[in-house]
Amino acid sequence: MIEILQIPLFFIIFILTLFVPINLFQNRPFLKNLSIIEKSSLNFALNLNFLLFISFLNCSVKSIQPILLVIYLIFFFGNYYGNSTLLKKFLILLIPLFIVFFILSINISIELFLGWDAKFFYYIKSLFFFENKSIFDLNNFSQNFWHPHFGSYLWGFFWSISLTETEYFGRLFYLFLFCYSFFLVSQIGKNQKINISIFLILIIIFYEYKFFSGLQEILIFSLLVLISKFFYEFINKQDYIYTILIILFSNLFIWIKSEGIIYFLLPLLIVLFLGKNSLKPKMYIPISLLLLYIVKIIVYDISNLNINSQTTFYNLNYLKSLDVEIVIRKIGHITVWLIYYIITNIFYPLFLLFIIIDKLYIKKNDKNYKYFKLIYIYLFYIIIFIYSAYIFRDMEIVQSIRTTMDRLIMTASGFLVYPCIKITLSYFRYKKVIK
Amino acid sequence: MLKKKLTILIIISLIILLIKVNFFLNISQILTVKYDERISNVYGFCEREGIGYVKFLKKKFEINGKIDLINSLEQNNNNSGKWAIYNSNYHESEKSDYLIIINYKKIINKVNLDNFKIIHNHQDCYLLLKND
Repeated sequence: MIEILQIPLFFIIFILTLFVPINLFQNRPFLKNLSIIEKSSLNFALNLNFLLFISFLNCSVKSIQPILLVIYLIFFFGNYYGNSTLLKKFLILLIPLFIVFFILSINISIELFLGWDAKFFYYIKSLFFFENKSIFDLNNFSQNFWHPHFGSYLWGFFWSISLTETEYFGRLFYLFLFCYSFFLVSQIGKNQKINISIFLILIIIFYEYKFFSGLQEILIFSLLVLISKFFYEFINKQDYIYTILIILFSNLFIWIKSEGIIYFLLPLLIVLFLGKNSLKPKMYIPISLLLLYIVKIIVYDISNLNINSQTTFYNLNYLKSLDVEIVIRKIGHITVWLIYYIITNIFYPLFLLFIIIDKLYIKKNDKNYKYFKLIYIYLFYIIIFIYSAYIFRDMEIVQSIRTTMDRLIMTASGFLVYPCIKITLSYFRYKKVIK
Repeated sequence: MLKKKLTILIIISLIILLIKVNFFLNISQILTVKYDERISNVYGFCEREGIGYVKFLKKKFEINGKIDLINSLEQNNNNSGKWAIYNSNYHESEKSDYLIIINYKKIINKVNLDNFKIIHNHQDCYLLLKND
């Protein structure tokens, strides 16, 4: 019974990250284009980056949690004292999020098994944080160098809050991020019933326990879902606050998985969609990314961690040994499996189908056109990445593909969720099913 | 009319979701089956990876030393159960004081019980302490 009662408690802790530090109901000039729910994602991005910063410190999660709780509560009551009506309204809006979170949490509490990588890497790292160790102790774990620590830090951080010290409560944060990302992108219009329907359908289509078995891909997937929406809003509104949101969320990629560096570079795509007079963002986006990466190098250096984690699979000797015959053979294998995995992932076929519908029925919309151009560039970028990753990988190709490609495809599909929703709604509007 | 259809859509979607994740069966299990038992259902108690037995021993004996684990599964890194006995307080190169064996009869050639003191035994599974 205590496990069930803890789930709403954890939900309250998680949603606290949506409410502070920025007051959702205050209209500040630089946030004028953000809706309330978008402001909550700015808070979320800030808090995740704040937690990331805390994870660099040489202090245990249990020592920092009470301090954080006090700070957050002070911020919360400071922000929302006297705003009870608006707060109540917003909390009512979050009810579907809570219901879905609760239903899926119960599923996680029963399934419990951990995935291969989770048992081998992430669980053990999270155990370090749970047992009051810090990033400076991770070197004691021989397999530490394979992946960054932030996903495991979140796992250990929330695991240690659990009254029963039950491991899966740490993983509920992954679920919260996933549900929140789907919830945010489904807030597409004023009609809440449509929004809730989209949210539920997305969850039904995509939810599988295995994504929450401690693997980190679901974190990257969820962040891509969010980022994709902010790209759309940026192209639409040309408000630079969205670039800040994109950069803040993108920063997390390099701290979650090694291949996160590929997604970390996504904000550079913004530069392609800027007007001729937008010199400032053309400068600050690449510079911000460079600085953020330098932070990673410094943190790894200070904590004596190995930043170059993939030398086992990617090394110069292997690159030198590659010849045309091997490359062609690899390309053949990659192509066959890539098609297979793309077909079996729901969002790629849906996206392709919707693109055809869009071309046939819906009139050219300049805003959507620019956004879809971005999506095409993204898909091209990901395909190039996948081919390069497997061609240059020093590992038997079929085994390599069969153990990792499905997750790679799943992760990358996060960016397609929002365009799929947009095209579906355009189609329904065209057919006058909805206004 | 649209509002009514949307309400029906929401209700149907919710029902599908509840069915998809076996919500009612899950909630009855979480109410009636304890966490440790659920872990045993997933990983086995004195069988398979034997994580249920590991959890039971850790709780019962509050073991402070380093533990090693051997089970009878064909080893492939993913079913060794080592993740469940990992202790961040000890360096990996340090030798273990304790040994947990899952399904001893199947791996009789790998371990000589004479070298250990038996601290706990359940069916074919053992918690052993190395002799000095």
